[in-house]
Amino acid sequence: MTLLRLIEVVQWAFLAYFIALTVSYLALNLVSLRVIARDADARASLLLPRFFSRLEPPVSIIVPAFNEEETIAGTIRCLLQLEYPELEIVVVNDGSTDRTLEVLSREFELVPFPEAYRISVPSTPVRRVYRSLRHRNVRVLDKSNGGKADAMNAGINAARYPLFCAVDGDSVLQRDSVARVVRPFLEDPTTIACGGTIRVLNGCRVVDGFVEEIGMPRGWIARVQVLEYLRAFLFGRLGWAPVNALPNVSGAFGMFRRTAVIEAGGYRTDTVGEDMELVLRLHRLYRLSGRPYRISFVPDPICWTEVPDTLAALRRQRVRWHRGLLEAIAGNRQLLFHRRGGAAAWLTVPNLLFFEAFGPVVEVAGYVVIGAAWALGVISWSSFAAFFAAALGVATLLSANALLLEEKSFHVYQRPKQLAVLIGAVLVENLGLRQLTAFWRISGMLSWLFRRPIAWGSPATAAAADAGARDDEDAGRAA
Amino acid sequence: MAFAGAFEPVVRAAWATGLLTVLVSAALVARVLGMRRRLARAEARRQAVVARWRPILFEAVAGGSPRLPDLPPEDEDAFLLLWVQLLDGIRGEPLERLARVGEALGARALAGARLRRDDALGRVLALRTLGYLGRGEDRAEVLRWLDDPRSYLSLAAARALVRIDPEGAPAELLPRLARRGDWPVPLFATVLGEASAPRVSEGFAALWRELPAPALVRLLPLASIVDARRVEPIVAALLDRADEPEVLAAALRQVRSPALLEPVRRAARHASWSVRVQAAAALGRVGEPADRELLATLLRDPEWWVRYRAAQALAARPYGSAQEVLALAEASGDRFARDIVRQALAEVRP
Repeated sequence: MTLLRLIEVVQWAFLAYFIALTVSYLALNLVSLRVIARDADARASLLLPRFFSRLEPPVSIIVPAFNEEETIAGTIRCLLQLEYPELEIVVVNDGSTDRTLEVLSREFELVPFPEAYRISVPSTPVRRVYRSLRHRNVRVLDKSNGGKADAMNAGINAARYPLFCAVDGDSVLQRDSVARVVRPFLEDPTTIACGGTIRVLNGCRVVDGFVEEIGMPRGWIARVQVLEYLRAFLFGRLGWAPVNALPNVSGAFGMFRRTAVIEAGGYRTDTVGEDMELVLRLHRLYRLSGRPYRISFVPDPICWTEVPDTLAALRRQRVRWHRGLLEAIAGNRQLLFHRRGGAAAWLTVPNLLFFEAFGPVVEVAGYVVIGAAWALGVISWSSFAAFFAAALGVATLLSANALLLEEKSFHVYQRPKQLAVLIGAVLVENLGLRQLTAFWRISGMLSWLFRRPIAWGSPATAAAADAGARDDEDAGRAA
Repeated sequence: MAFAGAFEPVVRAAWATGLLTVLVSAALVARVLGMRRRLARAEARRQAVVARWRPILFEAVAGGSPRLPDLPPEDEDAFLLLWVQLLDGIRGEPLERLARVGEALGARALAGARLRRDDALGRVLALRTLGYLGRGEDRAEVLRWLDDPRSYLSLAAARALVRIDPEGAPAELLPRLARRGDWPVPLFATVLGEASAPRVSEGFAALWRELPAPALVRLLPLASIVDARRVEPIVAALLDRADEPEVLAAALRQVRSPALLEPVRRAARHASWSVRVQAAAALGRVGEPADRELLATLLRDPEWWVRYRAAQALAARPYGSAQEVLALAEASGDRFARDIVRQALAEVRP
């Protein structure tokens, strides 16, 4: 085979992959458009006044906290204002080395509480449990450092209620967030988990722990992520929900049935993608045992989170996300093409594996091969430009469609200038940041392959490593 | 370029893809801009309607007789929404006064027109309007929407029916509630709470015998809005005859009377912990001092939740002082019993 023939074959292979990838995303888009249209109907239910009958299932909110002395009190005060009839808040101080526990103790008048702590899922030892004298529904677990997943497990052990919410310490919720994500549990008793749409907090005005005014971030790095989040949630999630094949429930804010998570063994502490890993594991356990279940998604924006606004922080985040994705797939590889696995086995996991996990490899290989072929004079400048135009065009189409989905559903960004910024972000993203992200994701793949240690929640590194890190695990993966 | 010809088809395909996607993207962005303009206009109109009508409606709520201006067609939706939202927040005589304002402005005709359109928001608004107008002649129309497969529409119809016919609504709603899993029971409790309480109790009492176990478990929480005298025989019968742990547990959750103590005591020894845990909780509500020993036994249960509910029962009911309850746990020689009692006591008596 001549070099020319080889390059031609490789080009056709790239194009075939590219077409398959595009078709899969467009299919998700079409499903999402249908769901949004139907959901626009469902949002008519907002015209129904929401009263609580006190028959709603009570909810435990678990807040893992590591070195969050600046924000933790505000976070808890904000959670106490959520509109829901029966909530308890379980704060897990995960071996903080700053004054997190002191701040909690002072702000909420903590007293030692003789908890008969039970171990349903494994976690590092809990040193002490405290209870607030000001708010009877607030408890604080003080434990040795074990990372976010470990803290969540401790929280699950201490939770009193059948449903629990996983909330990041830096998440900003809507007042009715809990009421919205509980609804699928009321409508279908087989529901074991439910997530909602996460939006970017950078640029928004927050007053007393709630978003008062929605704004755009100042820098383009964060602006591009606004677009990524739109794509990731408005079709990266919504498209999977109707076939009960949701790949992830965000760690920033998600609700789970406690017994289901305990039965699955809780969060895994040896992965950096514990949120996605847990959801895939739930799919695997329920699908393979043939039990009815549902993992739901409410498209309503229910949670706002800070995103990285520097390249260095973004790189760390993307490396970790990609490694987490690979760990989640590897840990649940039994689900892939399993005959009883349903849509999760035949659509979600293959999509995650072939397009999300290996996508960056193909993308970077494409850049290298086309670039080399052009440098060697094997292909013309116009051919090089053609491939670039195709890649840019498809990426632009997906982003434009995300803007349409947003406009059809929630139109959160209402000012004309905000819309102009988002259209600008479509271009900015594809002229450098997208390519850079592909390289970072390959770095994440290498770190997974060679089992490089990744700092996560350890006292020595957390403050730096976690800056902007506790947001959604796979926003930005869609396209 | 010597080799260019070899790649001609793939290059053409790439150009075509790029061009097509850019054109479609431009069309989508144009559509977004168009939608945005329409939305901005609608919002401006809505705000103008609110600014114009809110003082008038407030005056009516306060008992005045405001002069009602004309309602242009383009303002109808915004007006109806404002009117309904104000009605949601008031009760009694002011509600009647505000409903009369809607009547005077032809709200019923507006609702009828919206029910004929294929627009979900308009239909929900229409059903809510008919509900607040509360006219008997609209009952049939509302009933037609009660069986709509879209839960938000049927729920709006249910709420409207309760307002139009509080006496007859329970007979229509309860059987449907048993059939429709998509109707959230907690939400329905608030809807039925506005219906005639005796009719709700009658309907519930008539229905429960026909229900299969899963439907029964789902509906039993509604017992909290049913007359206790009607609930008690239902719960007693279930505790006597039910085999399924889910049904027994659901029945035990509704125990509110010492008359049911015997079956509760039996349930405390049930093989399934999900039943024992509810029995312990029921002993906390209706138990007698004589049940101290039974609860002490449950303190040593292998299941944490059973121990916890038993400890809560001992801490909350008159089973003795904190010291006596703690002594009871100490006497068992069981560390888990002692720990759970300490926790329960700390919860109620910090």
